[in-house]
Amino acid sequence: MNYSDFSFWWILIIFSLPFFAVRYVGIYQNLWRDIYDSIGLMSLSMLLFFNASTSSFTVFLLEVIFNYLMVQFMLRCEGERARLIATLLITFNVAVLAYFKYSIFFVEDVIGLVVTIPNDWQQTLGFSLFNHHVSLVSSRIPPGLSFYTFQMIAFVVDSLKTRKKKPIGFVDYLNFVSFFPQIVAGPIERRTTFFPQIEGFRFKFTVDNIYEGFRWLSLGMFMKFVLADNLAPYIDLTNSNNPWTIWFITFLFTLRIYFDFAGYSFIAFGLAKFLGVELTVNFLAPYTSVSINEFWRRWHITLSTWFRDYLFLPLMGSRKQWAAFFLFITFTLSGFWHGAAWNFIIWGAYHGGLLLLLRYFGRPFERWMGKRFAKPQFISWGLTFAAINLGCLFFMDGDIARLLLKLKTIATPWVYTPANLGTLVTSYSVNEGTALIVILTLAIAVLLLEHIAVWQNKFEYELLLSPWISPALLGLTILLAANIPSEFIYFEF
Amino acid sequence: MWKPLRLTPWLAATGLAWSIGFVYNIFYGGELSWLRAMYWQKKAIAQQTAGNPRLLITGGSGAHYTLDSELIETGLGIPVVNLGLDGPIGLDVVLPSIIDEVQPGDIVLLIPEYLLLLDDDGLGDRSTGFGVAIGKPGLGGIPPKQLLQDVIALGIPSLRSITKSGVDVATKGKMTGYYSDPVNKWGDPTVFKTREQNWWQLPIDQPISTHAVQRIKEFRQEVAARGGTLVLSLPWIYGSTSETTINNITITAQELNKIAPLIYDQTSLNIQTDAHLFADTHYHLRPEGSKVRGKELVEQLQPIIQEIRDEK
Repeated sequence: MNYSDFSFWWILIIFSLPFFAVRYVGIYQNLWRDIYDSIGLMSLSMLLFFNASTSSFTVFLLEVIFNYLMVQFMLRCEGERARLIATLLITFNVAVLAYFKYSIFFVEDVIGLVVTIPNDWQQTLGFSLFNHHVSLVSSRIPPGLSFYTFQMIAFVVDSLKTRKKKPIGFVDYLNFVSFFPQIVAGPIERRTTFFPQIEGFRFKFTVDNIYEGFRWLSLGMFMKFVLADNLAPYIDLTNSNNPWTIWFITFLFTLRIYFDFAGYSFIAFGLAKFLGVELTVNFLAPYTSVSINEFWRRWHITLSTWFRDYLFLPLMGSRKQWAAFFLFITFTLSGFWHGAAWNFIIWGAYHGGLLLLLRYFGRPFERWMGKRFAKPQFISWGLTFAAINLGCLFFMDGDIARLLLKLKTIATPWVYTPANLGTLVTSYSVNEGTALIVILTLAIAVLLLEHIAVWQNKFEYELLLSPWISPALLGLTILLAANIPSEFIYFEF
Repeated sequence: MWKPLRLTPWLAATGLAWSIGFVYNIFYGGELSWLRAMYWQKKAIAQQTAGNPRLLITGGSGAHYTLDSELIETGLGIPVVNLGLDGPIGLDVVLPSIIDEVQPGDIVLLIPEYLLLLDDDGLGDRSTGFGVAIGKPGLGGIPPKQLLQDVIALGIPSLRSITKSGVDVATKGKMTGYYSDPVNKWGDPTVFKTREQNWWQLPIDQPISTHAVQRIKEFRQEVAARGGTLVLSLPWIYGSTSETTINNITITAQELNKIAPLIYDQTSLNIQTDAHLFADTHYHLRPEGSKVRGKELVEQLQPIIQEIRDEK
């Protein structure tokens, strides 16, 4: 859900006030049945999703009903028959995702490589309905599609593997797929950990849950509304001639994408906590990583593990000697999942390549560094962070021609001139520059607290979630939140 | 310890931060605080200005930043007060916020920007905030959802705003804002701003909204009920002379003319093509522009004032 949009909070309030008032009276009068909690959660999730995107809601509803019926059918079958239903259902889900997300890319960027595609091809593939042109090709990805499709696919696979094949309730299934804090941008939850919490759902408003909820909500809001949203206006992708500017903007984007997505995930985590649900922690201070391997264990964890469990491992099977190849393929596809554009494919392949590099040369390089430096982990951290930054350059710019120009610029040593550095510094007004320094100071402070927690072998966010720092973050969010919030980056995926 | 007390730090942080933000936004530092101060100054001027009739001129900043009230007062021979405020307050909030100042015999000249005339609901970004700032929350009939959203936002100053204030304190020794410069004894601004961006001619893409027509009709009745007379004027703009713009302004003029006497140059429709007359926006005038505009207003208002006097 878009937590930046007041409509989300407004619906939450106008639904919750009467619902929980009736619930309170119902419990007091001994008239309340447990199932009403599940129905209440389902209604709230549906209402919020409908408000977020009517078109996406329609697609979602059709998909979820079809998935439920098929999963129920599958659970009644055994062996090959169940496997066939699962295969058909996964194919259907992938096809829906492909249609909405990849059809334009496939026609324009893949077929378009060999055939000239007319500009109005989308118009041609359509028909007229009630004086409106209806295109057969969707020009917009319904919000949340990539996330809930993966969650539904995981549910099919896990249900197929489960030993106890008992039927599942429709309301429980709907709550599993549409749980409002996480439906639009994850975390992508699993049947084994999430479904037991959702099955026969009951609201658990305990002080402990609210306390935990506040801690995560404060951190998430600070990351999103103060850090990510205040960094967003500085990220101008147009400059491709000044290497200092390219690196600096990429650095800002690297910070922004983490604070944006982790912020969203932590808000989702906090909201779920309020309701008594424990979501998966989707980020674990990824910028403290000292290797790319470690980075992928800390970044968008539920997506990484999804690709590991439902793509990499099944693809590889027993062919362990091909692990490196399948790893590369998995990461390239993971890039493609992020967006239907070449830059995302390059980004995925780049990270796959880095992992292979590490696989074959990591150990010797580590030994070489160990002999030359007293604290080689600092060098490893610096190299990892620089590699992530370079990856973000691919990730953030969908204009391939401009991206290539940027790569050429940063690879040209003689354009790293003091004059170009001066151009970057003087491109900001006093107010803009001062605000940027404040944001960067706060961002670096947050990253430093993550590092300290890691060095002290504590939970990555323990310091930021502490009862002293967390309320301060909430206060700072109120004072410093950007007055023009930017859209969550991962909503586009 | 009573368990709910564990939540105190978050509740206290929220309350404290929001209160600080509210004080900053409404009372000292934020843009609304300067607007609020200007509004009270103008109200005080109106209350101190005696005369019958008086000319009260109102609208958004397109009124505030376009008048040479001293010149108009001399030309017409009646006291003039500039009650122009700020466009984003919205027509539905601007009009009721000044109505209390209308006394029997007053002539109220409304010069609304097209921003105010074209708007479908009469509300702008600053409607709620301004209502709260002047002690009339909900003024203009703001819907509950927007009211709640905007009131919550009143406690959120934003990093940019705080940074600007901080830089101001460091460089000028005080906080400043768009409306923080003093006004003179007629309510006119004393400092004119200059434009840093390139000029382009403002197009008017649609005619006056039904809502604006209805609200101005009501305003005419409200003014009449207090013994005053409403006169309308098209604003001066540095604008496009395209057919669409001309048509839309013509329709707007026709609609306004049905409500109350409308003053404007029928040849130019108050579209100016000389950017040198304008200050920082397509409405705000430089001092020399205000003088030209003032002389024109005197000429246009004289017969109307005479007519009103004759009727009495």
